[in-house]
Amino acid sequence: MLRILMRDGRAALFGAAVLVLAPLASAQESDTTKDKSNDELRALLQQALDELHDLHGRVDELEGQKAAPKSDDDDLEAQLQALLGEDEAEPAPQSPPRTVFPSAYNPRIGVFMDAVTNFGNEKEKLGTGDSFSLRETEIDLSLPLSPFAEGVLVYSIEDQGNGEFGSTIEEGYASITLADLIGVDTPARVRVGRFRLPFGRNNRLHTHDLPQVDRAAPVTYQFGEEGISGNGLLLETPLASGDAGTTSLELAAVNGDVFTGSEGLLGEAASDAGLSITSDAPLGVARVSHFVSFDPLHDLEVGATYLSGVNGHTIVTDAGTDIVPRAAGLDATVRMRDDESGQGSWLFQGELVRTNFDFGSPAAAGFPTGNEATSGWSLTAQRQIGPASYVGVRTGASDVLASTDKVHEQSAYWSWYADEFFRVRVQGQHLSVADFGADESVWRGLVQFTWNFGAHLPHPYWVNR
Amino acid sequence: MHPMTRLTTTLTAIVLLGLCATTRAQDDTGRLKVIATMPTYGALARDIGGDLVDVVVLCRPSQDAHGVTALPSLMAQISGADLLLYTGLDAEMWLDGMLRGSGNARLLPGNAGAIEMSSGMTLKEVPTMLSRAQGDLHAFGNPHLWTDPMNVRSMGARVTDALAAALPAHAAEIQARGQAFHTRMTKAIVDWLTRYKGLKGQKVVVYHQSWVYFLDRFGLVEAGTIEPKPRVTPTVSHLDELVKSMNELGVSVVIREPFSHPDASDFVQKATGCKVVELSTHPGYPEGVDDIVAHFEYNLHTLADALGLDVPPPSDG
Repeated sequence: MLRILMRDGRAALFGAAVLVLAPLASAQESDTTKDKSNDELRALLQQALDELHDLHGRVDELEGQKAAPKSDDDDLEAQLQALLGEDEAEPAPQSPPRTVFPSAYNPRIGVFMDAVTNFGNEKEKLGTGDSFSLRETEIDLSLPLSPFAEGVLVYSIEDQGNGEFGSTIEEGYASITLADLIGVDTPARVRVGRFRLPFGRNNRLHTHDLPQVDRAAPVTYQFGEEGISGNGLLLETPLASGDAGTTSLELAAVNGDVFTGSEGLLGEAASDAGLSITSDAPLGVARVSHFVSFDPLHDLEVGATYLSGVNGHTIVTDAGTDIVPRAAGLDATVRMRDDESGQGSWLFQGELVRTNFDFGSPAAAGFPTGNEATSGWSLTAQRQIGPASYVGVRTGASDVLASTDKVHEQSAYWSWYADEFFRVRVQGQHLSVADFGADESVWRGLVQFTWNFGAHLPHPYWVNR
Repeated sequence: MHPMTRLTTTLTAIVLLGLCATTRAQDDTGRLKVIATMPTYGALARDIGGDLVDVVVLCRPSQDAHGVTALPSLMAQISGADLLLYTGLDAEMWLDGMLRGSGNARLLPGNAGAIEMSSGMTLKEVPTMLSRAQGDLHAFGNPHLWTDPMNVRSMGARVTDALAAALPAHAAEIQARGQAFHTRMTKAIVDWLTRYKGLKGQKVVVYHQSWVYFLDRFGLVEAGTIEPKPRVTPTVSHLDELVKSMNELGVSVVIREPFSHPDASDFVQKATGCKVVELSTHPGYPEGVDDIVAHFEYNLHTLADALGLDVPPPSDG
């Protein structure tokens, strides 16, 4: 546009000059008395021509300025393409177009299998523990259901001894992001269905994700070998986040039958006593945790959990006894990496669990009476000794729920990830089981092979890679 | 009151209180909160967004980009973010859980806040057969696109468009910064292709298959990998074969990422007398090499130095 304007300006000046010069020439011939005026007009003409010359120069200057940046970029790009062209005589092959297959609407599938070899005197002393066991096969399915919800199913098939397997839905829930569902700008999520209870750290882990072959003593002897899952509702949300760390809250309301199943310790005790127990009243679970990263290499998480039934209406025996369960837990996890490479690290973890069952009246035969408190603790120290190798020790003790037994445990273990899909673990364990003064000393050697295939998940939190 | 009713009422109240307490606070700085999975994307967002953006990078420069742990602190950062810059493909297998954990549906892939940096780019090493017997294969092809400066230049344009769309009031400023980055990157690439011409045809061994785009761009030849298959720990027999092959081909340099265990590369170094150079695929490692241009210059210079090449100084500093 500028160029056109300037060109037009030059034309206008040229026209003006012609208009001025024509009458001037005529006047010069006919009237000599006007020489002085003519001189003035010539001077004006010269001035106009000088201005025209200046404008020519300005136009050239502006055109040059306008063209210069484009030229630089073009030159640069041309240089680049010439340099690239030396190596790319043939165009790079294009990757095949990404195709959306109908199978994309099928769930992601992951299968975990866990085989354990158990040797020692457990069979002799306690009558439990097969020599070879395909301990668990877990099938994980997950799929987005909508922009705000995802469906998850964790189906578990467990070796129950004597070559028999039993299956259970370990988890099956829809996870709903509230922000889009109800239009509230919140990071909170809700799980609806069946899920592992958010009690401490150990209980919430799936068996194949455990740092050791078996669960820590307080969970094993107060909640059962598989821990506890429940049917209900779970709200998960961060409460506060900043330089001081992140505080999170989990609130769950689940059926009280988490303790009454035949796999639970209370269920076992009831079965031994010839009682049947049921529950149609809910339990509430609340967990508050705080995570803080001191720097990229060091972090700490502490948590506190409380579980409680509702007065007098949680677990009912067929003898009419009301049992009110309560449990509280504290846990702490410290991770320290040697350096940025993730080749060496320490993990320390501790967990404390105390349950209190109020066995009301009337007293049920074979069950304790009054308040029955059980407590337990465990401590783990784990060292990463290579990119995929970990050694650790764990110790702990726990009362056994609905029993007079008390168990002390010491373990040492080594885990090696051959790759992301295959793991070998060796664990030596000593259990001291005390029951009214009669002590049993049990030694176990456990060799565990864990493998998974299909859509795999990232490693659990205690693997520093 | 019936216990069930009482519990329901209590839980409802707690849930509502929880929701109120956790409603996301608006960023009072007015800056756009950008989550970048990789340090390269973070550097791009900072370069092009300037003071208009707050950037959080999930993966550290020296960390294995395929193995980031889903920490609560990272999920909390994501929960309040406006924009996500991520590679896509299967480079960030950990991201899905982290996004779900954050509850920020705006950043889920497919939504406007999620910017897939690999989109439209030509992939190398696309497998013709998928099997775990081949190691931890990337199903769609090698996703380490950020190791090629040409790709990073294109990613800059993508970041420019995303930031300009997210901050329309500042679109002109962002476009100008984006153009400046594009020009600076173009100049740098011309400079590197000219000064580091000597790299062409040089053979190197890499630890993990992270470098194919970088090597191809500068004409280097990958003469072997320390990992026998992707993410499979090297065996002694594989390393013996590698040493033999390196001696036959005259390979004198091994490239190792900061997160790769030094044992295997040290073994090769002792057996062949080669040099092992530790290079990160992202800016920020080693400390101080934060700028994208400086990062590529550092890697190229380190590599050329190890190969014993004479390289003229940068054309304009």
